[in-house]
Amino acid sequence: MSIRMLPYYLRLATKSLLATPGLTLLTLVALGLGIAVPTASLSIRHVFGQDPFPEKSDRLFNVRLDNWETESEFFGPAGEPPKHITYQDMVRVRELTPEIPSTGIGAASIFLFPPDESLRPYQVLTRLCHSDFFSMFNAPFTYGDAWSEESDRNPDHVAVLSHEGNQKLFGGQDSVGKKIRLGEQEFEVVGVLAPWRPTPQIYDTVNNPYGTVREIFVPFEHVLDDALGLQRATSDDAFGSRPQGGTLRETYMAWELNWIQFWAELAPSELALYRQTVDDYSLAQKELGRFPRPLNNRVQPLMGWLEEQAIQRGAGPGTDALVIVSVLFLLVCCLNLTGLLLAKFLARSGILGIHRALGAPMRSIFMQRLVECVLVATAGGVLGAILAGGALRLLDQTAPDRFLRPGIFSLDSYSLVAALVLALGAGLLSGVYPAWRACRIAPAIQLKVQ
Amino acid sequence: MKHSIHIGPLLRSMMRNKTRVLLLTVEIAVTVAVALNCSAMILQQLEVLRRDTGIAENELIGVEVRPWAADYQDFQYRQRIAREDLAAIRAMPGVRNATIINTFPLQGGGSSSLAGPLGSPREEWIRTPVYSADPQVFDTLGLEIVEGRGFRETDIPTEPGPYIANVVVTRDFADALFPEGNAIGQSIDTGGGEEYPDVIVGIVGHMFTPYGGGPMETRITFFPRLPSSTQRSQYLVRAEPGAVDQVYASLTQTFVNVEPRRAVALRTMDEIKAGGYIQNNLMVDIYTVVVLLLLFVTALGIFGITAYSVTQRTKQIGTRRALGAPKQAILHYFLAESTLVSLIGLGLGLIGAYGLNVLLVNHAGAPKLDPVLVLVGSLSLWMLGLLATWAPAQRASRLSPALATRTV
Repeated sequence: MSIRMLPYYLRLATKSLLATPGLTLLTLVALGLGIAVPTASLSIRHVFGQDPFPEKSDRLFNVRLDNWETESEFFGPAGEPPKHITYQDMVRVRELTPEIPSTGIGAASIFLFPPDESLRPYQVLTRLCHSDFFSMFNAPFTYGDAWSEESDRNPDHVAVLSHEGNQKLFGGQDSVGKKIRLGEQEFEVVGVLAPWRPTPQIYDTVNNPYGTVREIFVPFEHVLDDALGLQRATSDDAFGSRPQGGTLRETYMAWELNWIQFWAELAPSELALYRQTVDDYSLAQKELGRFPRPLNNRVQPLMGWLEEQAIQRGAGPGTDALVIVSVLFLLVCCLNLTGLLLAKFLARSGILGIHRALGAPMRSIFMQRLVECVLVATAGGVLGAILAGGALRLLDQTAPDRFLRPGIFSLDSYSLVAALVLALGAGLLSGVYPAWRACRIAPAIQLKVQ
Repeated sequence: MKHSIHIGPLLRSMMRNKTRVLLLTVEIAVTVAVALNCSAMILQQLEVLRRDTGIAENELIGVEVRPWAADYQDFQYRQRIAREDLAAIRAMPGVRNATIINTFPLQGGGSSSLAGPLGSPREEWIRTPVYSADPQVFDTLGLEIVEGRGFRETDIPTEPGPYIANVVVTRDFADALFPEGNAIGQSIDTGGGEEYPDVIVGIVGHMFTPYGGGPMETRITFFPRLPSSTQRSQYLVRAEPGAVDQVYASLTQTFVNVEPRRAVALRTMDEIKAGGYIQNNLMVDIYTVVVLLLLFVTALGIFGITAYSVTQRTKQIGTRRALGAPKQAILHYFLAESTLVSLIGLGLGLIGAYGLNVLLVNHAGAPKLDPVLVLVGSLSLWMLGLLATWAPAQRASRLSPALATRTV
């Protein structure tokens, strides 16, 4: 088709579509729905299934050590090590690999006394982590910065506030250097995060996969402070009993209580050595009478860990099923479209016959029909995108804030491109056969019945 | 019947319109395959949502209390406040009963332990969700003691630390531990060993607590205790039928009257449950919309294609009418054709449905297809086909022979 003919074909196509408004409307609705359903489900999958942290997902590893006894089972799938590790193993593995950025992830509750004394004290869930946490997970800072490794060790009375925490306690102003009281002790704010809600919350999918970021982050070691009284608030698995009588440090360093998710950031070249170090550590612990089971440790890439967690949460037939179903839905719509276009083109056999008789080549009849298909497809794609956007917004409003970030489902550029590509593909696929049939109309028989 | 349908002409006509028949059958086949599988997934989730939990869901309010006073470090102070709270709630108008409990049922997950008959090898122990609560827990939840007894005030320990507990278990758990049915009076080990065994004193009927699937969800153990920590306490309040709103409105004040130095948060059991089942609810909504849209689109397609075929066959219909065929015959002809196409489509669709089902079962955790669902689904789709054919077929039957044959 020479490009000169395109405007003419477009005019013809518009005219032909407007000539049968009922049929055109039917076609548009059918195609629009056919585009809307897969577009919406691709967006949903985009939210749940895509790599949530593409910048670093290949370098972040969830580390698990199987310290469990042989007599009992923990709550989790057979063959896998427990999803958490013990405090003592976290500390010793960190000591063995001082140059590797790593962080424990824990949570503990404590009473927070707001600086504004007119506000009532409330119990707050603090995030226990190490200084590497913030750089490992690219936590964005508005004011100040993370605490230092030295603050991890001492541990210093320092804290990082989330955006929400800073809004609540300091009205959003720069609070670096200000004090907050946790229990009976004062903590100095060293950093304030920008609004941040990773979805899922990749570092803690066990306890809080879709919730909000904790208000306040403090160095992990504070959990050992008998005087401070941080109370663990994570799911856990334990065997044996809690060692009695000692300080918290002595207790945690002897207790087989799995409650910490542990993360390491590794370059590809460091991975093998790190795995070896973890396994060697387990073997050394065997010598001491711990780790009675066969060696079963995991240094698992972020994505593998997230998939396993999603399955364990019992997400049921997940987004994969939805995508399969949506593609078949689009197929039904394409078949529909083929039927409707066939009806439309062949209904005008008479006119096409005249065109052919007057010398229009088959190719130009075919191209004219295809242009018509593309026009319908584009309109259907736009309609589909609008419908998908509406459906996603509705879904967004249905899901409660506590579980899903508001605005998590929306018509992003990804969905828009998906809609347009699907529409054009569907339009062409469905239109080729009807267009071919239309151009093969024999002029003689059509003219005979005029 | 004067104008019986002859299958011969019907088949010959269909063979002459292969494209139309092919489009319709494939469309119906894919629709059947998808709709059946989606319906199976919806039904699976509905079953989870409607599962009998055994508890009086509609009459319960959950209360979460977070104290900050230093007094709460003291075990005896906490126990005293818990008793005062319970007495105050039970005295409220519209309240049937109340209990203090370690974790809310139906919130999804909770606390669990391994347990077995005392002295049995640990490898054979089975997992049980664990609730700790005061003696009124059974009436509050709406559970009935079917054997033995419930808790007494004397079952509640007066000091913190391990104790020999008289426990109450669900029928399912009793049967799993002691298949001979002699659970009452038996000692079990939930981790306390020989020193601190637990004794089964009572059995309650069915209770279900969502806990990631598996048989443990109905194998439940109750410990007698007033569970409260320095951090928080949780209460369940059962209102008289119809009095939930009234109780909800004045509950916070009741707690503040007993001890003001604490934060009080209320949630109805429906809200607690909605949180535990959020994913199931979302799935039901999404798949329902998809199935309805799919049926709509397919009906639209059948309608469109039939309408076109009527236009195309105007002359043929006119000729038949002119030769004496009654309107009914034309109508029946189209309906019979629709049925035939539906049958072929359904046949192909059932093969497709089972194929798709294998894929979804293996890759997406979908349930297997239920034969009843397949039967009902197939009949519904056939009806849908007839319904979508009706209007164009009616129009065909009303064609005036004179007009329709004008250009023959």
